[in-house]
Amino acid sequence: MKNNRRLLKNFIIHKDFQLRIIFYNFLYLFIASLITASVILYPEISKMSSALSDIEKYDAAQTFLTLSAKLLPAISILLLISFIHMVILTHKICGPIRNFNKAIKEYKDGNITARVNLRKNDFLKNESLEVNEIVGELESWVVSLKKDVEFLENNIDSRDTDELKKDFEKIKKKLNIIKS
Amino acid sequence: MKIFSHKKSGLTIIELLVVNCIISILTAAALLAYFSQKDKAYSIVIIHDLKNFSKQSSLYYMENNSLPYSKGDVIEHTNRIFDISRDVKIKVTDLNTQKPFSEKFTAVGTLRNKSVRINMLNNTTSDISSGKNKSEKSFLTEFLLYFIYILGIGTILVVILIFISKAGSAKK
Repeated sequence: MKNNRRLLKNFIIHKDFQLRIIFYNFLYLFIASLITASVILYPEISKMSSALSDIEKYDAAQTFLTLSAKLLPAISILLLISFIHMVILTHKICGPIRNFNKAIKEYKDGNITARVNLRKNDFLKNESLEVNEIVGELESWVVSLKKDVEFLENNIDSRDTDELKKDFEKIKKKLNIIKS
Repeated sequence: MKIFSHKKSGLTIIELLVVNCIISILTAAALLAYFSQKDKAYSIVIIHDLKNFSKQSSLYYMENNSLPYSKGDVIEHTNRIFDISRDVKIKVTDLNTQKPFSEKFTAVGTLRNKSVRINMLNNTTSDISSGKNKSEKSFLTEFLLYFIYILGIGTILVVILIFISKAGSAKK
């Protein structure tokens, strides 16, 4: 159980996967910001070069300076926030997948007491509850089967054929339920 | 679940460098274009203000037969007589108070790193910005400078991220 716990500080828990998403997303956002800034500033730039009167040029230059003074810090803050957001978001996606992966490995090794432990606001929280419920049920069936087999092993000499037949039918039923 | 296998199929150093380079090239080009336009905008604002200042000085002189400033004075937008944009400063450099409109009469307008001189006698302007001589720094040199700066910052960020991720995985 303790192995499945994640530390909040380890934001980059899967370097390859997370860094790829973060960098490509940052690149797309950066290009989008450049295009947005150019679309906003282009009319003023074109007026500065092609306007006929000096007053028009002056107005365009003033607007350009005012816009750029507000636009550049806004874009920088946006890029910074989106970068931090991407780190947190990919962490929130990778964390649950990692815990699912660990639990599946445990089941593969035959340890069905392992559970998928997720934090309160993690993604796939409902899915993890369902998986835990299914594995819990499976575990209870296996425990009951083990008990029946143990009982049979201990009392096989003292029981007659009809009783043994009944016991085997009981075990067969439970096995069929697990198989289905 | 393949994404969590331990095979090194994820982001490589080359990929990181390529992304970093693309961002650096785009940023350098954008910054270069942006700063040249900003420079142009500064020039337009200063020249407009200097011409305005020249006209208003002439009018004032005609009405009062004197000028409201002397050599070395700095005029800012808070001045009540002259209409000057915010952040622009006009310094009267050469002035003959006796005959201001027939002899030496020049002023320098400054906005950030941009300075323009006006000869108020014939309204001609000349760019005298210090520390930024276009002929010395070519387009390519400026582009390369920006590119190197941004590439450096990007590389530092990448190294920090890799360091954080390694520290994170080492804890486990």
